[in-house]
Amino acid sequence: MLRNTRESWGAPAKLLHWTMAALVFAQFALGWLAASWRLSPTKLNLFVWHKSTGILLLALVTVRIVWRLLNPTPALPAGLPRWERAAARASHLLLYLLLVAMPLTGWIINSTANIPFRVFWLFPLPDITAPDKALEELAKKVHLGLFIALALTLTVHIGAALRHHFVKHNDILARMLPGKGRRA
Amino acid sequence: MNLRARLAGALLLASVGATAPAADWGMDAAASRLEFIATYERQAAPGVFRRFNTRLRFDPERPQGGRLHVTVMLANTDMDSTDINEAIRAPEWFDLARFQQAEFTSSDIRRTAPRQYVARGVLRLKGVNREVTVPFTWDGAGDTAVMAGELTLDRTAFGIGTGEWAAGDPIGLHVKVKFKVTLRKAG
Ligand code: HEM
Ligand code: HEM
Repeated sequence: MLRNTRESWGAPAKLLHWTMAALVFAQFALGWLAASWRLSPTKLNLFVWHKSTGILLLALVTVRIVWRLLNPTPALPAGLPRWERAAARASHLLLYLLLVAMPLTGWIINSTANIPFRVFWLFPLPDITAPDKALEELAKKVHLGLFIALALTLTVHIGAALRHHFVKHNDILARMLPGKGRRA
Repeated sequence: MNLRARLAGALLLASVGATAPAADWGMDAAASRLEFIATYERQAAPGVFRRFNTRLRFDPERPQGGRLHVTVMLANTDMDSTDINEAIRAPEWFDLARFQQAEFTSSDIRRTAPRQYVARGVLRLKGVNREVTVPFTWDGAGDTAVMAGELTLDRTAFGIGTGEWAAGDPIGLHVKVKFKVTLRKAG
């Protein structure tokens, strides 16, 4: 089943969720390594990987948001308290916002710093701003701030998913896992 | 400049003056440009040497007695990126703490075709002296002339980009240097 239903996530939604989850974790590692590596060819290559993965994530999140808007969303289990529903809605919205804002601020850093860069060594990324040292410094701070926000939100997100599964014994986690439909 | 150098300079000027009526030319800095094109991931990475000077003694009809002297203040190298401009000051690159200036000196200028010349001389860059041939065109009208040309250098010949950077990847070995210099007859 490709499309989502009110009961279950379709394969594209699951594939996007887990592909992006893996890439986001890789992206944390790459960003941190690239930023802290001493200036050397390795550092430049780490940055090409980090920036390329970030642009890939920007493309994926765009597809994901479009797909999300074109599809129904599985309903949360009936007994869930209001605050949990609200928290789930708010945190998912926040995750989407952060997944868009992170690569955009990265792109601004790359443009303001005016460093030539080809996405996966294939094609040049156009600049979205002029070279600007002050804006570069600001964009770096925002990029780092957003990363902290994303890491915190994900901690809550993953904690909530595990709590639903192991504490509340509902199928919220299971229905996001590959290959399983809703077995209510 | 010490006294001996001064005297030698004066003697040199006197002897050149006696044999060739070549004119002395000074550079119009505002109308002159010296740039280079390095490569990063096989993409052009251009830069400009914002401060340099050219002194020339030259008669386009009798280039043999000519003398060309170019100095480049490397601290004013601009690659249009604060981060890169900072990085190239390091010992692996220009090593600005030790070498502030590059210099090209030639007293062997020849005509190769109408209005085309080559100046063979020595480029001193990062403490290394290398023979370099600089081709240029000459467009003169009265007291003003424009000399322009380009050449390609191997940066490793001068130790620009040492250690891991000495491999041609991700920063290429060949650097194209382009110049267009407006000169005015002195005196
Ligand atoms: C979802 C996408 C992204 C995530 C999760 C992410 C995450 C990170 C992290 C964790 C760091 C290290 C922390 C820091 O020093 O700020 C970092 C640094 C950096 N990222 Fe990203 N990034 C993403 C996308 C991008 C993109 C698309 C670009 C450029 C096109 C980019 C360019 C940079 C740069 C230049 C730095 C170094 C900042 C500095 O020197 O302070 N990032 N990123
Ligand atoms: C970087 C990592 C991750 C990101 C960016 C992320 C993002 C998201 C987003 C935006 C949603 C909302 C889907 C929607 O309503 O449209 C979601 C749902 C979900 N995520 Fe994640 N996630 C990540 C990692 C994880 C991990 C590691 C787990 C499991 C431990 C997990 C479990 C879930 C579950 C179970 C749902 C479905 C919630 C529901 O059915 O209503 N996620 N995720």
